[in-house]
Amino acid sequence: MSGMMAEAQEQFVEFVIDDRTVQGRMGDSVLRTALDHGIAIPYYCWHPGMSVVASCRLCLVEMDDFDAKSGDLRRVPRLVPSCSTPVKRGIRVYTQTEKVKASRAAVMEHLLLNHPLDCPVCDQAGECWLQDYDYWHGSAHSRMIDPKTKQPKKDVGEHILLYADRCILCSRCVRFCREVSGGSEVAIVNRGHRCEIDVHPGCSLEDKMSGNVADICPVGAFLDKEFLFRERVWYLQSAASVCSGCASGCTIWVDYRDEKIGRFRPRYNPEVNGYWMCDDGRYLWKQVYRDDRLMGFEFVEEGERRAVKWDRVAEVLAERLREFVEGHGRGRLAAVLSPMMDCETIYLAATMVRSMDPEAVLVGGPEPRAERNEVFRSGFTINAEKAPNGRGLRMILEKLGGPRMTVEALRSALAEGRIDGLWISGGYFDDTIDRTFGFVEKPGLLAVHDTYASSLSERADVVLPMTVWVEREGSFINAKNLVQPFRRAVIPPMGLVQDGQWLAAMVGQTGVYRASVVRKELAKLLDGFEAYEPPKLAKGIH
Amino acid sequence: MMSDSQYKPVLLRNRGVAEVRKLAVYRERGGYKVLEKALKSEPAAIVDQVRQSGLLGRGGAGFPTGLKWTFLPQGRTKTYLCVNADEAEPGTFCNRVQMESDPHQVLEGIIISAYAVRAQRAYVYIRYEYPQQAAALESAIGEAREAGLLGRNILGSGFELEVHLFRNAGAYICGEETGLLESLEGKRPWPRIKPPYPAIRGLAGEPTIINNVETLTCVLHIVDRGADWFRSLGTERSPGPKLFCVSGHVKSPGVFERPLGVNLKTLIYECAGGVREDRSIKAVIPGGISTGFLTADEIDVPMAFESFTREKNGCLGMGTGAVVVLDETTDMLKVLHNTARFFSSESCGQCTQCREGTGWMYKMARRMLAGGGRSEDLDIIAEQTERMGMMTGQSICGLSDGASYPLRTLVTKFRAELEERMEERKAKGLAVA
Repeated sequence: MSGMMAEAQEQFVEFVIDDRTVQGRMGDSVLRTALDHGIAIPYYCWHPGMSVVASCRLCLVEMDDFDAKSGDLRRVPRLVPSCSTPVKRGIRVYTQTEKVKASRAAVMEHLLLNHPLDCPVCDQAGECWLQDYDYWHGSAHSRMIDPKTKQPKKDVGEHILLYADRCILCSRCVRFCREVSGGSEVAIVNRGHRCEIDVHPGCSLEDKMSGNVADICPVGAFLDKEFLFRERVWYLQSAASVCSGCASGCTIWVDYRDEKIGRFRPRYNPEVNGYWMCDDGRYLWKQVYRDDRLMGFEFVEEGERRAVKWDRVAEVLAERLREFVEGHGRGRLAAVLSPMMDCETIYLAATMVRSMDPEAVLVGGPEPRAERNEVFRSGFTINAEKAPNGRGLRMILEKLGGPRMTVEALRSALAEGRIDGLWISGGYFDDTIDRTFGFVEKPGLLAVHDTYASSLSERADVVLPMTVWVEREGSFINAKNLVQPFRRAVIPPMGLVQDGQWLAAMVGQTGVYRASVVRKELAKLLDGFEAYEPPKLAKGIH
Repeated sequence: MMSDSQYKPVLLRNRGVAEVRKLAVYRERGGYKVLEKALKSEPAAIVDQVRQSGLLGRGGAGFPTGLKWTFLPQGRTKTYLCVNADEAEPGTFCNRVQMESDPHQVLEGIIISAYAVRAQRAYVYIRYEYPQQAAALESAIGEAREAGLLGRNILGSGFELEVHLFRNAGAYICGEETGLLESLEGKRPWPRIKPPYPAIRGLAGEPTIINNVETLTCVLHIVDRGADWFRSLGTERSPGPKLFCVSGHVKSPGVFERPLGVNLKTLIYECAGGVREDRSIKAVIPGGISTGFLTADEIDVPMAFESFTREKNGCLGMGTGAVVVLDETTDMLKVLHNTARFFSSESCGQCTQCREGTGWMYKMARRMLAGGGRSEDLDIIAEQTERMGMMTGQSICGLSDGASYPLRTLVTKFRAELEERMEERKAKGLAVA
């Protein structure tokens, strides 16, 4: 035990940065330790998810190190790059000396010599490290009166544009493509001040990680076509969310303005996605703005479809279900629950149905699958399971117990007339609903809880629009069995509410819907739901 | 110390001998005898001998070779020897003469050094612009392999060595040792962050020794004649013989072998026959463009590593000992332009200051040449060189220092002339350079 403790202590070393004593993890760099302690050392080329090149020279600091011969602490004559200097017990690092400041000012002046300074039309403006660092460390004037070295704009991939003249050659993109995505498409061509980022001849950024290069580009060189000229970033707010593109469950930031989504960005998660996300997930926000979304609650009454306002849904639906159970008897209602829904919604829907008919049959909805996982060089994985919450669904159904059925069994039960009331929830981004439930003809009651219109919703007696996950709060259980809660980013379209709002009302919970309340109940059922809340504030990207 | 004129060449002893590129002729003249001797002693003994000789690397930086060799880790399983024949420093052509006139001597030095550092693979990284020299070395390697001087069990000693020739693709930065390694590995030759130094992690991550051609030839003679003989030549701190390339405005340019410490004036006026048309000297580059410029008043100086410092004469060092003489008719503004152009073209582009700074200085120089120069441009260049190179640690490798010293010495030592030349051009009116 004492050995283990000694070992644990060994992993940290104490040293000084600007009169502050800090603890650095063995093997970490001075820069990393400084950032962990909230000491701002500027940097461009360093990225925690990639190898260290120490080429931007902005993070240079002064340092006292032990003299090899005498063992005394002495000022190192050179400025040292803090990103490639490992921590060491007892050293002293200086980040604010005149020498360091002069060096930073020089780097900033140099980086801006050939930069076009086209901030007013640049998408990066507002989250641009050139702007920030020049404001803090640079000068407002350029002393170069000669023509700038000009470089072209290039279309380098399906989602990505490259404005080469804005580039500061930090080489993050080059390393990303080599070390993380593994495609190695990007390289630096030419020498000296004519150096230029380019894709290799015949290559383009086509793999599913390409969107990340726009994230990691500290300036406006790599840009996302889908975000181009759409929003000024300073208007954007961020909500912590979880991608629902596959079972990996990458944590993301949903950046939005005025209840409209601007973009998705990866949210650092050492357990799952690291600093990255895939393009499948990155552009999933488009699902919110599809034309075929179900936009109103509808009930067929006397052979006619009638719209019901959201605040009356709970009441009308409860009456309808009660009528059905009274008319057909217990155990004749089946509810198909979707792995596209969050744990809270699944739980509420299941308990709601069981509150109407304690013998109602619960059916685990279909889980769309690709052939295999897609794994990239860094280990980043796009899961073959294309639903975010298959595990949550299975676990909750397991724990709830009672009558259960598979989709196949449901089919024969319907054919044999053992079931004549059907509740189907969807929310799939593809045509899973149409493909799976083609066999459903016209049971005694067909309630469809889905996001998009389908042949099923057309013939349903009850249509309940499901929100897209960014419009509600909840939690998914990912392929690694991690419970990952997410916040609501935007409000649902006019006339719609979070699904939990009316579902909770039906089981007697009144007031504004809070997923955290349901989560507390879920915690009684399942381990891992205890008091875990997603972060509230967005932090800058690395 | 013997006087300069009596000095008998060692490194260049076979220059001008007919057919000495052939193994048989080289052997007739005592070739590969030293190798036989070396293979009979312990590698560690050779390393010791080299240490005692005080041999400083001839590639420009003047790092003690023996010390470098002792940095190799003890329990290593693999060692590479890289021979830096990427002689790209403007004004330098001594390796070239060695390789073309006496390739077997170069090879013998390589084999002995490889044995000393226990390398089983040696890579000769040769400059792209040296096709004939590469061919000469290639054929020497072929002959040596056939004669059992390379390959397994060299001369029955059990020592194994393969020497491979690698021609670079033509970039100055490849002469920087870690840039060389990257290039040899097939990558863009961006110098690596040090530490770790190549002796710890070099080629393919294995311990690697990188030495200049001339350095390894010196090793041959140290093993042959002993460390004391080596120390008897040159100065206390810069022992041994050295090849000096003298070029520029001299009557008979060429490579001259002299002990270190020889006076620069001797090299110019005795070895190279003096300045063309007996004009007076305006400036001299003592050791390749990176080292900086000396004025005519500063050339009475011994050519030794310790003679050139920022404090003494504003120079970076003795460099490769490549002397370039500029006579009184030289237009120093053109010199500045040419210097700036070279470094802006050859900066690898990795570190910000060097990449952008060299480009900026070249743009200024181009404008000055076109008649648009301002006095403040010279101030900016001076400041620029201070920030890029003199403030050490600004970049990963030494290229930015190499760019800074010549431009700084030009601006500080020849400012009056530069201003004058700028005025002249301004008077002629702006023109496109």
